[in-house]
Amino acid sequence: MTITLDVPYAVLKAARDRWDASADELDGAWRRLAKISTVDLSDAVAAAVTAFADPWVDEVKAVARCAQGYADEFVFFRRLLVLVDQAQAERLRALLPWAQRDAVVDEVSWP
Amino acid sequence: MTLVHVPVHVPPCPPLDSTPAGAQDLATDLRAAAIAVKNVQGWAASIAAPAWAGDSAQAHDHAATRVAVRLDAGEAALDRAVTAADRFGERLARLFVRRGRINADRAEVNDRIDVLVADVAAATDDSRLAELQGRADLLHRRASALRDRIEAWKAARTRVEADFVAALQRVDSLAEGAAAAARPARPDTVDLARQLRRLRGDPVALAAWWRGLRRAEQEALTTEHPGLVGNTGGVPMADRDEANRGELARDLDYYGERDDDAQLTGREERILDNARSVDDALDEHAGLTDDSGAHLTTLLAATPDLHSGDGGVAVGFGDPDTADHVSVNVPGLTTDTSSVGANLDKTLALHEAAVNEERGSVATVYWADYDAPSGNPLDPLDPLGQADFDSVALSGKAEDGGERLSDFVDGVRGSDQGPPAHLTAIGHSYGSTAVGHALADGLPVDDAVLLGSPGVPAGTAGELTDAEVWVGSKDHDPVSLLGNGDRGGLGALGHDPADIAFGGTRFETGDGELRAEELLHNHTSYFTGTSLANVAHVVAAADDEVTEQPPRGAPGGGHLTLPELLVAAGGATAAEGLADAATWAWEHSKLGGRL
Repeated sequence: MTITLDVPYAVLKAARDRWDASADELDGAWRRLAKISTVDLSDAVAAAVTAFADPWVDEVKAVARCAQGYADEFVFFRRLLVLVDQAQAERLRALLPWAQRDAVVDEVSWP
Repeated sequence: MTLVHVPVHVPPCPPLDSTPAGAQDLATDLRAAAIAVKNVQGWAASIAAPAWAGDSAQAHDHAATRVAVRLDAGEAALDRAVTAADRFGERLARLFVRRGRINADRAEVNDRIDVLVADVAAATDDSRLAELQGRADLLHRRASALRDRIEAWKAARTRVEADFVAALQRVDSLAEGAAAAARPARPDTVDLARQLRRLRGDPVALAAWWRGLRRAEQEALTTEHPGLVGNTGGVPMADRDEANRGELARDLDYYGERDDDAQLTGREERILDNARSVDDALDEHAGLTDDSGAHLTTLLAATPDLHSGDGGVAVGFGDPDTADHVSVNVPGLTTDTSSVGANLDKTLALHEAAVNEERGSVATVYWADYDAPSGNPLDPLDPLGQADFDSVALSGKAEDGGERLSDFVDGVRGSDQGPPAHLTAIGHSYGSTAVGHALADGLPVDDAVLLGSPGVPAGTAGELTDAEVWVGSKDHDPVSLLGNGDRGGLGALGHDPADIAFGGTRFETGDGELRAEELLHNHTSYFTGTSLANVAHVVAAADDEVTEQPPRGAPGGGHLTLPELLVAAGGATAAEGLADAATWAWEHSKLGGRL
């Protein structure tokens, strides 16, 4: 079975680039938080700063990995050239802007 | 002799455990992270499923929708932490000032105690007993009051730290972040940004509006639109600094990540280079603090992607909103963001000289947020220079720079606190031409200083401005001989302000050495020696301290023309001298000079 997703290539590329940029943006953020400045702060304040930052480092890092994963999925799907099943097509569609939610997923009918 | 009970010395008020500058650095890191998270959250939200659209299962599976919701919690937590850190820094600054006053009073009381001890020791009988006992009683009361003040200060220090710790603890989990995101009282940054944009161009109204915002609103808007907040006249300079530092740190993080991934475009590479130059320059002066223990440097404008890729920047020493005397120093040709470090050294030298005048508080701003020409506009034999910098284009860049300078200075006036500051605009080389255009358009300054000027767009100081005009021109500075004057001059950029007909006050700078290898130095050394001292006098409104020298064309004001200077300095022929005059600036600017 061969499945198509009716979305312009430019939309796919733009989405891939934005997910990739988002991953870079979030990687910068969690790394900044992970080495947040506690110079010239008291021990009590420094401890509270670290306790604040830790869960958000983990959370932002996790979202960064998601974003990078989404960007990588576009590359993966592009290499496939054609999508092999409906689930893959719907998965790819879910990574696109909401405006593309009605992009047609269709089975290719061979003559 | 009867015993006199002298009080013991009052112990010093202890130092702060957390410093205002430390809190500022922490807040900058938090802002940088918040800006980045908001950038992604904003994009994800813009392509997410609206709350009213689609079936819920589809929306739940939609990646951007999930990311937008998830990051919203982090955004809310970071906004709360930024607001708390900002308040923490402000309270620490107040404690810093209060401690300074306590220790000054303590020093005075302890000195008086020492004097009393000496007087008591010297007393040989009871003839001065009443007087000595009276002084001792008074000092007991003062020492006791001081000890109470120190105890109260220590309690306040503990309270300030505890409040900040508690504020962080309220948002140090994902669930608390989600709860913060759901709070109805969360600032509406869309509406706030709309209002801020509406007030752009009216710095006084904008400053009043900004002061009426809650701190949480100011901070949320700052991390949502740092470029807007950091570069809009009327926003208090301290808040512009916070926005620009946050954005700078975010730029270093984001473009640094892309650099590591070898994904930088040419434009992004220039932005990163500019950001690193500014960051290095700020780092170099990070150890300087003001009277409240905060960083002395303030990043008042940052436009790393403007001006043909050169980027724009303004850095202050001191807070222009609160200073009695403010100067804005505009550099000239070949200025770009990479040269900010060397130029800040000159600005700091002026700042320290003006502070040493002891005529009130001082803020000294280096302003390079305009597109100064980078090539050679003065060489008639340079086809590229001619193509890029004909006289119209050259003048146009000065005009555009003048307009941007006017906007900045309007902002300085708009956010000024207390009595209006005494304001001085300083232009060096081509920067003096830009300042001249701003003056011609009504730049609201009290004094203008034109250094090594190649020309200004008016024949007289009175036609140019109502401000008092001061001129520093070394006769052996070839750039200063380019303007129209009593003995000619190319005049491409206007009139020589050192000329007698111009009517400005020419202050003493010396002439500089008459040797070819010193000509560049003559042009780039106005921020040293007698010249610097005179500029500092003007900046601090110590006009009576300024030493003068005769204008060109006045008795005692004889001088060489540019071709004559180049011949005399280099041994060239007169014919060669004219051609050399055109190429001189470019040749030397390539070697590192800044016109």
